[in-house]
Amino acid sequence: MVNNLKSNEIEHFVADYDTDNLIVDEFTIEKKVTGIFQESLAIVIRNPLFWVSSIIILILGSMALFPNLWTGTDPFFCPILDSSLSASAAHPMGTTLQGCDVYSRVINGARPSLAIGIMTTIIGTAVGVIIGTLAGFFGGILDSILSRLIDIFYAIPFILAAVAVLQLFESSESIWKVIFTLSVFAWVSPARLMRSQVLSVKQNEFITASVSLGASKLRNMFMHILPNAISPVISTATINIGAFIVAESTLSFLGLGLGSNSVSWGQDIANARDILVTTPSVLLWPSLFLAITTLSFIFLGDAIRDALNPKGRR
Amino acid sequence: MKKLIVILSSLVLSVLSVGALSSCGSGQESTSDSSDKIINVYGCEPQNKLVPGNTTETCGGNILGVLFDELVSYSSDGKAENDVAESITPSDGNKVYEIKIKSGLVFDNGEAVTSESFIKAWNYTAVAENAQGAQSFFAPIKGYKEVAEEGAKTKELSGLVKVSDLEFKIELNEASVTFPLRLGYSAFAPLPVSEFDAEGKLNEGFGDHPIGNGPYKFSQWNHDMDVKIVKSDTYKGNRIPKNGGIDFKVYTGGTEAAYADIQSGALDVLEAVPMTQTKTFQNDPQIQAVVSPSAVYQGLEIPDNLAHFGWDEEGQLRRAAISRAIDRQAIIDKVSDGLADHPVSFSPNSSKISGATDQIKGNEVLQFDAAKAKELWTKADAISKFENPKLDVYYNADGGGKPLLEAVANSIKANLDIESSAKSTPDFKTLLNKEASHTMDGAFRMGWQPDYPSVENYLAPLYSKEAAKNGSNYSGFSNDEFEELMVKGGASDNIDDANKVFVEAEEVLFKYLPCFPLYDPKDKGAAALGVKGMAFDWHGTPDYINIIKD
Amino acid sequence: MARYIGIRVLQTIPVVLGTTFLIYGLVFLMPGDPIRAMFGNHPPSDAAIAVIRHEFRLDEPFIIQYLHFLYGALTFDFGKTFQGREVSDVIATSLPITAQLSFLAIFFEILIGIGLGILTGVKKGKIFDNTVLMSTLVIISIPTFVLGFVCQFLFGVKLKVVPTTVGVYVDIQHMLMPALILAGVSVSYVIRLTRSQIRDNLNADYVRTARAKGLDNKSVILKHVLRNSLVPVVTYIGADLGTLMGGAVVTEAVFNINGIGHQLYSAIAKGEGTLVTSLVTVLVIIYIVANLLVDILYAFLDPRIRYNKN
Repeated sequence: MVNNLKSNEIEHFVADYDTDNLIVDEFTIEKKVTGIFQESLAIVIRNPLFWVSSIIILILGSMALFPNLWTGTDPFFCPILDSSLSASAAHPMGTTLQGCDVYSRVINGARPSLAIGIMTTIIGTAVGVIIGTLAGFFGGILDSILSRLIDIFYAIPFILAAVAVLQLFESSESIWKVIFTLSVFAWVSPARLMRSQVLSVKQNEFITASVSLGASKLRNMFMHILPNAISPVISTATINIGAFIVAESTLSFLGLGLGSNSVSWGQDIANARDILVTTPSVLLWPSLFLAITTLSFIFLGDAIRDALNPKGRR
Repeated sequence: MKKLIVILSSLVLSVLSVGALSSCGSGQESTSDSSDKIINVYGCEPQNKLVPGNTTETCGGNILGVLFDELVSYSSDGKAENDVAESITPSDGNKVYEIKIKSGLVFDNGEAVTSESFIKAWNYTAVAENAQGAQSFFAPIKGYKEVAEEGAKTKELSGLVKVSDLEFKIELNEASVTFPLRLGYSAFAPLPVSEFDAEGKLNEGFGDHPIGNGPYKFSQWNHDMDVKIVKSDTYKGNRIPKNGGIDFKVYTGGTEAAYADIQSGALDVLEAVPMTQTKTFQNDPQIQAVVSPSAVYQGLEIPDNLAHFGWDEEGQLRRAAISRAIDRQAIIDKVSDGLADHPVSFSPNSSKISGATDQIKGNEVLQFDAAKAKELWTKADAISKFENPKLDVYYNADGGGKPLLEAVANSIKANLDIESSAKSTPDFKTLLNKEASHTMDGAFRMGWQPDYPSVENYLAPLYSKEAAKNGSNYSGFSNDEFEELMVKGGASDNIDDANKVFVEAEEVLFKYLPCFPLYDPKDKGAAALGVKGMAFDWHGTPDYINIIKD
Repeated sequence: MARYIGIRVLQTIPVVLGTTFLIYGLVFLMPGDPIRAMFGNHPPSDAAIAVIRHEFRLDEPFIIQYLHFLYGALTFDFGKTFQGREVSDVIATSLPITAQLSFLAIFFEILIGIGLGILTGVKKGKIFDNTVLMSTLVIISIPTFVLGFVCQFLFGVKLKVVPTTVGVYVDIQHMLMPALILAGVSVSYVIRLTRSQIRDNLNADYVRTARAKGLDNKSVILKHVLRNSLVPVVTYIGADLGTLMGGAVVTEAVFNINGIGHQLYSAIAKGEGTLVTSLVTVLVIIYIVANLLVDILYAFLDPRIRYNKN
């Protein structure tokens, strides 16, 4: 595929997880010592999936940032007489029950949907990773307290908390309301996952070795345990982006989402329910964009994980 | 790994055994005669125990409707006919009614239906300490205030007087020519005297095993699952059932699941077609579609706590402008799939409703006219300028009004050039709280299911001063002319005269528009193939007694 | 181990206290008057409403209401619903139904999720891997109400291979499709998790060692790789049991299942604080037990994990 490889990089090709794992001859190649992040970067940019997914995400990003580049139609212009039209030159993806242009709504829905999906995932994963690592690493009372806190949050019904959070934000219909509501729950699953991984990883010989070599606890936690334990969290986090965008659809359905004066994929998916039988295209398009977004982030996540993960790298 | 497998397989086994246990007893009855067949109908879990005086919602109401017979019953075209009553005779200018009960009628426990059965039941419902939901239905009867309010000393309505075992007298606070029409509502049902204690309290367990005098007899209630009733063998009233009984299957998540069951034949009768199917159900070969005009009123109410929407000239102009700006016909065609009629008055224009008419002065304000709407709005602006004009419309997310209200908001926005969007509260109680406390910062949907088939029932409970204090007048409308007309209508000699006066009251409403109708809906139902006789009664409940299946 | 379990059981007490307090508080803070809402457009007199409010202690300060609830719960008296039913009766009827649905869903998660996870983790075929990935994506991107609706129509109404709804027939046959739909999203997570874990572990030193020992591929994967890969998967599934039990509102609605999810949803909509808190208390105890089992499973899957060390 690529001809001008430098000698110290060939190993990554050889050990790509799709090739036979029994090839161990990479150890004969002299390895240049580089920093962990440079090394990861080098792996990432050689992954074609990374490029494909990045380009799609860039396109989606341009829709989110500059919707006017893609459409000039007002997503809120909804003449009822144009209700449920099929695709035409004026409406390339047809219209909704209310007569709004589906194409314009899909483009304009990118910003809130991506913001909700990405921000919630970042907040949830970050908080979850920190709490899970602390609980798993230090154990004892801290673990008990944090684990039971996780239990409590698991027990709070989503709808109940959503209504309660809505009270805090009364009348302001910002996407932050939705992000905050979803984040209240988003950290719980990563936290438990992270804790289980840290519990498992910290038993490894190389951790014991580094402790006996006098490495500090914090250094151990951040430099050795965290990178070795984070892989499953990343593989679920990338799915989460899509799941959170759908979760906004549930919130909208319950009357707790963004509200009719903003556009989002989740809202349009929830609204599509009523005319699903006669006009399935109103469901198809926002769902398709959602699927493509999720897929891109899963690929991107896989590329990054493979690069960061010391186990998968050899 | 082995241990894991053991755990897993034991889990699976336990699940299997639960299934095996509960699948017992689901055998089908096998009878040949259609008059013995049990009909499976859509039902929902009653909000309260099955006590007529404590039930004002449809889930329990539909069941109680066929377990009990009242003094009058309504024919399918909305006419009140004497049922338990032999005669209802007005005197003192329609202020006193003398009731004579048919002899030989019994409850399912064998007890005779007497005047005491009515008086005890009605007193029980009206007394405050019993906290019965249908209490307000007894407000017209003399002595209501003395039993219904804080610190009540007596437990008996002074307006109810026993004359003999089969005769009693009802005295009202004010003359009401429509009063006999009301007596078919389930809250006016008689209850067996033996079910009351010496204090006049109903036995605690009555609502779990109601004993009625209606066409069906209560059999079994599995909460959130089903309510079973069977044909009563002692019934001698107007409504003889053609089937052997009814099984109300409870659908906890709404009508979508029920519709699928109609399609597959697991359910016989569904009284409401889900939004997902309204476009297609009439052409669905797997079901029988039933459509008929509904008695439900659907309007948009604008509360007077909104700035610029008072009862003065400016407010009247703006309310009229909003009404004119809504393209009702387009919304009916597109959102309601044509299954609704353009409204003409403050009640649906149905022959089943006494006094309903399209001949009302001022009802042209319901016609869509964007130019006229703008003109009215500009006139209002000349009186007092509305900076950043805005009118949001509210609905409760658990009530399914979203498509309608979004279309209304879009119509207002497009035709008046003002800000308008559909907003939701998560549930009905939040919406009601805002309505009742006058803190709603927009207009809201008003749906009204009538209690008796008279236009009066669409007016007094929604726009009177009394209803603003303790009722469903959420707009804050308060108008002396309207009040006088309602009293005058009630005091008329006969129903026709009364209805003429009620039309005048509607004309007042058309001037002020506390609320205006959006569309006259239709009752949309479905029956499984092989079911016969599915039709709606006057207020949208399936006419259960006439439904049979092969 | 016994000591560890003992400590964990003791820890349940503060968790239940904390949760009930939080939930009761949240319901208390919810807008709207639940009693007034019960009567819709036909409100009885203020005096009658006051009687009901007093009956449910809604006229008392929050902390008194909460303490009363706690006292009742300690004596296994959870009070009555607005309908007049015993709360314990509501739980007793809906919990077994939900348990059946969730266990069946978990079973599918394990069977399909771990199964496909192993296959995609081990197989080098891109096509198979991508087919599975695409299928999981479809499941994630289509909301449950649509997926349930379509499957119900296709398999229940058109093909008539499964019943359309559950209703009163709570058995495996009726629960099969709802459980599959309910498991859908979680299965996607389990596949991704298992796949990534297997791939990581396939490169680990011990796998080389095992292969160097001459073990064949199958036993390497089943004996070594799988066991080492399962810790996060088991964590996820264990935690998911709770989510499935309380959060199956949509699935329950589509298939008319009278489970905890529906009870919780309608109790929240009606503002029934006692019922909501009681249901959540049951759920939290289930979470705790499930998580305890998971934590014990860790030690079994990865014998190096010890809990008694501190």
